Amino acid sequence: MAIGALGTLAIFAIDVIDVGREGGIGPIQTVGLVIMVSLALLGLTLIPLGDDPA
Amino acid sequence: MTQSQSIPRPILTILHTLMLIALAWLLFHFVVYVVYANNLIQFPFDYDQGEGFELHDVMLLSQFQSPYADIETFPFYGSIYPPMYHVFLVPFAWLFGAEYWYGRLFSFITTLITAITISWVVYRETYRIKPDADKTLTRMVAVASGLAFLSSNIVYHIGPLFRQHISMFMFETLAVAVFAHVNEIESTPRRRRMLLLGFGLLVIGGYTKQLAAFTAIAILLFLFIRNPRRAIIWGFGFAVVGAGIFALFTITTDGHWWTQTITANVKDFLTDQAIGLARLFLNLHLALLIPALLQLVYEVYFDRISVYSIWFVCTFVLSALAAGTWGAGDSYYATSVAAMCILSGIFISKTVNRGWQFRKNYIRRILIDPFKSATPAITLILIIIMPIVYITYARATLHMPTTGAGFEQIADIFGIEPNADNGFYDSAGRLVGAYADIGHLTTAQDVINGNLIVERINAIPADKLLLSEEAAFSFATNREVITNPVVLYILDQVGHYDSSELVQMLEEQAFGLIVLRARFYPPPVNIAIDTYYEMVEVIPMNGFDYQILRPKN
Repeated sequence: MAIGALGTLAIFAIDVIDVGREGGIGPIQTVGLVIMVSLALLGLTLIPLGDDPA
Repeated sequence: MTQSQSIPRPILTILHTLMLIALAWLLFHFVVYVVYANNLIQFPFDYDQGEGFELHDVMLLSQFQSPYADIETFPFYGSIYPPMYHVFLVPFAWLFGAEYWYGRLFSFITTLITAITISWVVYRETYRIKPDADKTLTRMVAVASGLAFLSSNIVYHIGPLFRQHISMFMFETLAVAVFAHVNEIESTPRRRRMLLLGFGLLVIGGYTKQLAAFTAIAILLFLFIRNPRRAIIWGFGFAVVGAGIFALFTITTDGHWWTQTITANVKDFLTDQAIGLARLFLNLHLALLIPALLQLVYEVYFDRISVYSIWFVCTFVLSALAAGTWGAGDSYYATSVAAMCILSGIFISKTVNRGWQFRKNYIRRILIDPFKSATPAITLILIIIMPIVYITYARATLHMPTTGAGFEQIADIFGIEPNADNGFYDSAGRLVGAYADIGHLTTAQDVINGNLIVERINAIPADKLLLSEEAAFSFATNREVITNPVVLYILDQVGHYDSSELVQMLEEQAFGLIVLRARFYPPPVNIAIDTYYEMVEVIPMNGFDYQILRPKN
């Protein structure tokens, strides 16, 4: 979940840090966001499972 | 007592019958694949753009010359691929000279090894999960999994080509099979040997084609999840070896290795191409994708996550992105097809063997427990559905010639109309950009027309240079291979190629003849060609129009 959340923030941060870029959120960023948000959601659903080894 | 004995006899009969139908259909695709491979192995010219340049890499290495040379000076040749595939073919070059057949045969054999590995993994994993699994059913599913890999239109297309991509996914699959249970090996010396073997395969795979990096990421992630300390130590060693070889190549080639394998692979991303190929992949493979994803979900919530699942996710996501780059194609999905065939095979084998066990957790309480009373009926329904999954997949990936002994009759009976070159039917059609326009068989006329181009080249004086967009014609006429157009084009696009020297040679009409197929040269070169040369003839071969150009008076 942490990877997903941090990844999402990092992808948005690209636009904050590199404000001069054209076009806002690009296609690769969109894919990255979908993956990171999905990872975060997956992590959330795994929390109730406790300490079962992955 | 095996599980199949507890399945009612009529259900077992239906299951066996459907499984035999699925196997027969997949076996038919395998026959088509063998016919296609046999046809290509005998074809003496480029079938897929770029094959001749890979052969040239082999010839250079066989003469202990580097294919990573300065592309701005004559003969303007450079390779953008790592050398391992070509190194394996060097002994053949010493024995047989510049021939296409051994590279295609080598690739074809590597796909068979990959398919056998997939089958073996499915068989092994089934017995690990369920030691009393039904032998007949398990073998049937294992064989179907391997055949399903070869049946994929994507694998079929490229399987017998003189390209490095094909052997790459053999090394990747073998590496994954080696790593799958390496952490469970108690004997330290044996575990280390297996780790060494696995990382060795990864290094070979990576130096066969760069895309194997996706599999390396998956394996390192898997090792890290299971044993972080071991993953860091071995991963560090792997990185040192990989980077060391890379540095050595960069230094010994005066930096051209870096320019051609890294800079030349930083290409434009085409969103439409990426989406089109992803949709194509889904359309063709959905029947096996669903059980593969279900197996993945099962592992996440009810079991331990296997290397196969991580491999599938990593290669699928990263390949889908890489497939959007200029010059990429459907072949980028081949590794994920292998991973998908393993995951779906495990799921299907586990289902027909009734090998499912669900840990007690909230997911089970929500999704499984409410249907507990209907479990026997649901199980039997799922068992019957499993072979239908393979039948559906075989239908989705249908590809075959509609002419020739046997094929014509089958096409007539089922009303299959050709939709590709030379009377070939391909279920994927030609609807998506970057989908390889290959898979059809070559004809005797293609060989005749290829020889006609050779005749035209032989008609010019022997001391005159030939600029051919395909190396095949240079080999056939014993002339020097000059330029690798795609490499020049890509490096021109990223500002790392100065075409002045080549353009000057064109201005001086230094070439006695030019043979073009797709005009993959950089724009300044194409302009110079049209300015100082004129097209005198167009000769069709293998679905492409080869333009013959002579110097203008």
